[in-house]
Amino acid sequence: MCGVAGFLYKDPGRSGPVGQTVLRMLDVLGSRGVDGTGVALYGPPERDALVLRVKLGGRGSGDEQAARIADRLESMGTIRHCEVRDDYLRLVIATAGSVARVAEAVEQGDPGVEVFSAGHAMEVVKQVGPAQVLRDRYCLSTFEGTHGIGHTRLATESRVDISHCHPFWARPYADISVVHNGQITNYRKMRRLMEMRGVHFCTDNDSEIIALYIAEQLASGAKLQQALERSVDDLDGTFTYLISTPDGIGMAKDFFATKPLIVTETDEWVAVASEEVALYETFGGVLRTYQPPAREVQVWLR
Amino acid sequence: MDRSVIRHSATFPPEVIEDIQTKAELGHYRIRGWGTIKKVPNFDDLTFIPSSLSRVPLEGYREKCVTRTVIGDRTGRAARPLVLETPITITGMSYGALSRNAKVALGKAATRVGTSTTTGDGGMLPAEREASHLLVYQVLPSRYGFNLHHMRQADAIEICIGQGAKPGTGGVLLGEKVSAEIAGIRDLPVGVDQRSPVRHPDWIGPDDLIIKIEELREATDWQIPVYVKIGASRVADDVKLACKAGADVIVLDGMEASTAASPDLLMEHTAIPTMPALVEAVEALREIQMLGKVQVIVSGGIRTGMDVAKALALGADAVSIGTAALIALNCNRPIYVEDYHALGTEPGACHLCHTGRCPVGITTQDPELMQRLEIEPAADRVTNYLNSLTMETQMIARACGKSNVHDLEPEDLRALTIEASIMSGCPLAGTEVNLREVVKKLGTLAEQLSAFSYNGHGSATAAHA
Amino acid sequence: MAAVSTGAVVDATGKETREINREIRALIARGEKTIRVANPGARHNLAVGLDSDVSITFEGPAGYFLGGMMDGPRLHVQGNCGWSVGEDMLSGEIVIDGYAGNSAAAAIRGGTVVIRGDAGARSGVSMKGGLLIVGGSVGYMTGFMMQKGTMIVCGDAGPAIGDSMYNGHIFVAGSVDQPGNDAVVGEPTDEDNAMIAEALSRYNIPHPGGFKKLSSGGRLWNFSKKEIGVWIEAL
Repeated sequence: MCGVAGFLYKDPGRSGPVGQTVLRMLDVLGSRGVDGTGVALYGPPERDALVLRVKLGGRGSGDEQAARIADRLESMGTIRHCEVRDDYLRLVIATAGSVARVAEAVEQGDPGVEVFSAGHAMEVVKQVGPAQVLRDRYCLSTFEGTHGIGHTRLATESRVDISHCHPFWARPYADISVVHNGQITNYRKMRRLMEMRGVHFCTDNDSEIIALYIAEQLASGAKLQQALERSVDDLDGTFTYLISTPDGIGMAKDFFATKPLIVTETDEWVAVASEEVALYETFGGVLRTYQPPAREVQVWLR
Repeated sequence: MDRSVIRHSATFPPEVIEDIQTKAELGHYRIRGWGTIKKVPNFDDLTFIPSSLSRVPLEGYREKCVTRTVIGDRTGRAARPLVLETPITITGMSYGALSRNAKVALGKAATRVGTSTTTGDGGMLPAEREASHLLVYQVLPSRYGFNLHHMRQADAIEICIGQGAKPGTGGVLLGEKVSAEIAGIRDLPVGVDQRSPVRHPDWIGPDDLIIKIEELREATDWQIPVYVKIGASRVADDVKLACKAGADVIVLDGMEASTAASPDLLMEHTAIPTMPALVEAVEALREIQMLGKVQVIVSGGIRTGMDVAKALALGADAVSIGTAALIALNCNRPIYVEDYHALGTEPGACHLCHTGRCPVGITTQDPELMQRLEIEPAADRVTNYLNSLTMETQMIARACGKSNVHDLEPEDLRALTIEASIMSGCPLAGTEVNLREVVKKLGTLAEQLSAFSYNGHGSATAAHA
Repeated sequence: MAAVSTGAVVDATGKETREINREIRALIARGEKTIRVANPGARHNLAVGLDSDVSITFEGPAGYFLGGMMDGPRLHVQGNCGWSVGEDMLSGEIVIDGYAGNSAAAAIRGGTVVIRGDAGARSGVSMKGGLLIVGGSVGYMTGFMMQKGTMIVCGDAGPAIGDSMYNGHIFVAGSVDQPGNDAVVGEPTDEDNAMIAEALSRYNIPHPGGFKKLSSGGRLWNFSKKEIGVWIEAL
């Protein structure tokens, strides 16, 4: 149903054109589906501030909506950056407020305005159409950062629209998102149980539950490796998914190895993609590649 | 005075009692042939409103009514589309499920009428290729007898995801019918109760299907159309995915469809009926702007030219028949009646294809039984039946003022029940109200209302009012 | 029909699968018996449906369905391959120097597929004949519903190997932790061992010694309430 990709610089001090790298892999994976494309990229972390990516689907022009948002955030902190590009707003706000409260304030009373990511480093940008849309409309090929994940979508059950594209932010947990290839078949059942516990879902897309599940596990003290391992037992259906956190990227494959993934590594970086051809087109040359088997869980940290 | 009355429980009637007690001996699920026995909403719940004063009918016996049907010429991906003289084709039934004589008779009939037959879950029988002037080659999860060279001789490829009688599960052929010849073709031990896998061995999921369809086209040099066959289950999603995966044609098999052997419970409790499935499929195609590009062939309980006409009116490009073709051959004909009785059934109620003891020689591998189906007369019967269907379809099309059966429209129909009206999108008889649209609008309204009442952070649904 | 002594070359750089396959077929039609494909870049559907006497070397990795449905050629991939290499093959030979994705040799009816590295899940699924040799280990549900043919695995077997086999044999030198439903573990015969030794030496695969033999227990051949355990359980 989809293609997934991820890239990480191993050295915590290093950053580079992760936007272009991930997008190049997504160009090739577009043959698996172009109902939507999306990325979650990690730029230089903002201390004491939150970076948000907001979809502007509300009343009026982008600038008008941005102005209203800025008004709503006045009491919460100082806005350091507020840039409208096409239908997205990139906002950096120095604040002591929680991610949840800041995001709510951004959306307050403005249906159509949706916070796609909020955190200290992670920026989620996604849209209907192929990877080139993200380059053309949001200039992501110049994004400098430490790591990122991406996704091309072949919609199976939920709507084809911007909100149902991946990655899904594990709202309201900062800097965590997921991209998923497959179909979670116990999604509705798990969702009802989680909702009873107060978890809120933003879409009807089954992939979102993976992000929320992992985030909950991490919040309760589990390490990423553990959370991924538990998910292989708790989630039913088909999946290869990538979870992104501030420290790195995690991967899990389902019991039956129904969805593909190829990994390639050098001393400096790690790249993963659903198909080997995406790695070859992006990195060229001779690559040492590896194919994780069923049930495999892996974590790559900076 | 004591007058005792025999009262059967609706929950545990005699049929259910018999079922439970049979399973108490059997220890596993029951298998039989045909399809769902119970009544479900179908084309009988729709009626035509032909021309009268407001529209001009065509003269039934003199004025032309075109039945020619071209399949696979809309997507530009196949150099040789299929040209059929009638919109009625013969569906996939395996050589193994059917006897050789049955397969050949169907092929000859199809050739005489100018339509296609389809292989089945057992590969291509060369005699069928010879008999049938247009042959669709199925690619199934089992790949029994799958052969590149046979596929290259075909006029179309049909990738089977599932079938209406048992979507989501694999096929079955019981040991009685796995003769030496069938076992040889299928690479199985003789006499084994063959189970087919449900998934294809070399691809899983629609993202892989994109690559698989490309592979099949590469191997046949992009000459012939590719059909994707689905059982009517999650129709809207499946149709959209099949289109995205590159199908030229979607073959949609509804709940009423038959099979030669399957667990009875699957037939009765899976899939949705053909009529609403077709409407759902056409709607999905419209939604992704594929209507008129990717074509639909519908099957599952097509019995008369009226069913054909209603299917065309609701948006099908063609239909496919299975059970009806076998009945035309002789299935359930009251001959060799003692043999029906020996099987515990009678003509008119026989669904025992799975036993391989077909009294009329159609669904058997027993050479003696097969002799009872003489090829030439059988081919004649099917030819006559196909011609009847075609003429019935033309008759109603003309009555509706159409000079081409493909010009039949949903607006030529009315529904006789509320369910049928909502399922078909045709107004309830006596009204002009499209109940399906009304129900959908109510659904949208409910969504909007719930979005406004939610007082937290934004919900995606609010934006899509 | 000039034969080129070093073999004809197709440079796949920047080309779509359809164009590459067209060039390959044109060379074959011209009478070439040895073809090299440079820079295949892991593209899908290369060399599918070929039925000529020809040898093709891919100087790099291949994607999905390499050599699918073929009848006769000899293919050599100097790299890895994706899913379903050689699926539905009737005859011929495919050698993969690296690893293979899932479903290698799916439903093959004849011919030989050799994977020098590891092979993924469901290798040899639904095999109907032919020979699959894996120098490394194999993944989950390898040999599922195998009907005929032979599989030789020099490494370890993933869970559920040989599940629901009708017939055919799987030889494993490494560990078999969890045989599949109705797969019975036994000992190879002298003929089996001779066949294995010959096959491995033919492809220069070091003989790991000590193979186990998996065959069908036959308990899933016919529905039988006495074997209910086997029918209900699945790994």
